[in-house]
Amino acid sequence: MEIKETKPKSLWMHAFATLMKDKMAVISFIIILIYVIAALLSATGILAGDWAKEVGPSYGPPTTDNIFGLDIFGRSVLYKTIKGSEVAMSVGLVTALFSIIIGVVFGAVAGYFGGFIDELIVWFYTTFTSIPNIMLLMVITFILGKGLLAVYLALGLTSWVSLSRLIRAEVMRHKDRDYVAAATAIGGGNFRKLFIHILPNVTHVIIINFSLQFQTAIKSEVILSYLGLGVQGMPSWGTMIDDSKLELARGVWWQLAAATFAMMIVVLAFNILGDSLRDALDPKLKGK
Amino acid sequence: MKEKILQVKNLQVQFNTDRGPVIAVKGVDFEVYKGKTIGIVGESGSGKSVSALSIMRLIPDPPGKIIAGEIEYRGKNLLKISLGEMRKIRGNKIAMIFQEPMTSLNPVFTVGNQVREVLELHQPNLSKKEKEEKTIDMLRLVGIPSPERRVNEYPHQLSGGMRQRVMIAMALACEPDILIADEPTTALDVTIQAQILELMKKLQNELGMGIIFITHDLGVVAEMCHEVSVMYCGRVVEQADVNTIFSRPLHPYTKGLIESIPSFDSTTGRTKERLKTIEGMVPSMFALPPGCSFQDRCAYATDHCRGPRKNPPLEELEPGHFVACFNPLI
Repeated sequence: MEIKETKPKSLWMHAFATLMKDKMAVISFIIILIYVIAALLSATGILAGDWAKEVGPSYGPPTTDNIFGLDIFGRSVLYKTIKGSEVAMSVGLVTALFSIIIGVVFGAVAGYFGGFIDELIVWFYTTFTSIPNIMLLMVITFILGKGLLAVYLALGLTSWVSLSRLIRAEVMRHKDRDYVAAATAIGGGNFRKLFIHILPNVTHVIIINFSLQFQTAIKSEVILSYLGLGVQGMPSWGTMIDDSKLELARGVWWQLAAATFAMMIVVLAFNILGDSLRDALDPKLKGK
Repeated sequence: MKEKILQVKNLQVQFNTDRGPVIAVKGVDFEVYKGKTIGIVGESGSGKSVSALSIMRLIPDPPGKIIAGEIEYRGKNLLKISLGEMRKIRGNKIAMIFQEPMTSLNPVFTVGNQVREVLELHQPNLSKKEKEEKTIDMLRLVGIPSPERRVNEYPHQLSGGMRQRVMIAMALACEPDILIADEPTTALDVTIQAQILELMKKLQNELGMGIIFITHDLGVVAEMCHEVSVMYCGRVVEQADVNTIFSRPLHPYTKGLIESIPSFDSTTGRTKERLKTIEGMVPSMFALPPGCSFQDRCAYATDHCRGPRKNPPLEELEPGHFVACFNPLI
């Protein structure tokens, strides 16, 4: 009899295999990929580069040429929606990365060192979250001036606390484990123990959080833009929804529909993917 | 000639608990010689693990603190050197294996990765290829079959015995002077236990390290150790070479421990008599009786032992045989 050799699988390979079996997760992943590609093509000007061009009459209804219709200046709503995805994806990515870096560093340091450092960090983020988020967002955008950079910073700075709490708790749970004691016993220092030994054991929390943070940021950007604090000079889903406030009374529904739909689908996809990631990476929490 | 590599003198460790400070180790002395094994025996809470962790300075601080004593390793007091220097010693000159092989390996890294880490920390000059080769050599040395394949496996793919072998490979990768083994076989089943003990003895012969072997299993002590220290309530109550301890125990506690080893009649397979136990329980560290800590459980205790005096001092009653008892069984 021949013994089949199986290559040992890492946690990530296992998780990936589990994820690939989940149809909804695969579909969500493909949808997100399409958005990412659209955003990239739009950013490089290949797609929707001439979104500002007048292609028909003001408020032209959806036709086969312009499937999402036209806006007040006769511009294609489809192109505007695609251009909007560029803003949405970049805001999602940058904000999620930003909040993860702050959240992980603060959470890990607080959980690992404990004592005074922990108290200081916990005090800091508790105080920080006691300020209403929307106020903070507005203050930051007012200070930095409207624009994409302000949106990145405002959303990044206001969204790290929940991850920080999670990471702090996870690191606390792990720091007394035997493998950390063993790492000390072979001569590992604090930095090595925290970032090389403990952090890879909590990465699943970070990844799941990334996917949830991403879609929260997209929604927040829409709200900011709706309030007029968001991106200037280029279409975003928020400004499109803002524009359609006045259009609805005239029966022009397509701009609102396109922006809402675009946002809804990507947010839903991220939510489903986040859920599936959690199931794949943390079998104990399986919701199914 | 015996070469002394480590000397522990008057070690005292205190823990600050919610109910007040507790001195878990109250002045322990022992020595480790090259190529020899010293066994530290005692019940749970007797301070044996704390003593061993102190050598590596692994006592979590807070709540623990080494309040007195000296740990002299090749002329250096390990309690006085900087943490940076201590890190160079840990895993390099003094290595440790733990009780629980199931949880002592990091689950997200391959075993090869973890053995290699020791080399990365202490022998950074080795090339990548040399490290890889040494890792496989170490795994082969500790008796892991087809190590070329096993290096890429994760801890969850290995059995408890195999994992303990990996721990031993990690501990011995830099050929340390001293190996501290904190109940290395407690979590393993008996056949695997025998294999691991055999392996440790073999490696000691090959590499010549001194071993500090912590256990509560006297059978294992008889198998492994050259010298034995028996601990009770944070103190060494008897210290001698292994033959003396088993043939002529002078402390009632040691005698009780030896009598509570099950003995089997090899012809019938039945025990001859009811197994003896030591009556009572280890007293709480918060409510130690005045006088000798063992008085409540001792059949030989007299008023002399219960008196308001201190614990009996450790005295050399015979050459090389130290006992701390007011009424030794001479």
